[in-house]
Amino acid sequence: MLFLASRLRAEGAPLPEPRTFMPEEIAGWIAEDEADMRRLRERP
Amino acid sequence: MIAAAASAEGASREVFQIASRRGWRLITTPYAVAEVTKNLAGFAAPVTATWLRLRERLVLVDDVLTIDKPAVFPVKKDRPILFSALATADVLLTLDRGDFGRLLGSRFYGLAIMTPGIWLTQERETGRQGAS
Repeated sequence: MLFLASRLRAEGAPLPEPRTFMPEEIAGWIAEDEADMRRLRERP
Repeated sequence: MIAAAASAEGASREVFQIASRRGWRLITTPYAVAEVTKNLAGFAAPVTATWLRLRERLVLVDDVLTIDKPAVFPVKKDRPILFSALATADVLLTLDRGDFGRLLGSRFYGLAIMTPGIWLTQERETGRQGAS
């Protein structure tokens, strides 16, 4: 049932518009990404 | 991919830099590329130039909108990303906690979903990354 519902929802559906992210959201990703890399470099 | 283009100091860029040495194949789709292009519009020109160089390292596969399994989560715009990754990849790397937050750190029908930083950490801990 779930599979069927999923297929029916998806079939024929156009590709959605690419998402637009808020600049603050992107800035948050970059900060997290850089912090992860710093932690990785500081690990022995 | 947005973070990789915008910052040379993040885990996302590191994934691009070491992928070939590690034998990783970096996969994306036209939908994801369009999303990056759209959201990099507000960045300075060097970021776009970096993105164009990074994009050359990506393997482009078709977008996937359907799967032959139940997907019991709300229909959201993350569907093309998630379903395409499930069809073609072993791991989905994302920093997007807005759409993937509840899936980060878990698996979706065997597809591991994690941030680039967690991926690099796991690779190091399993000894596959080696010294950097």
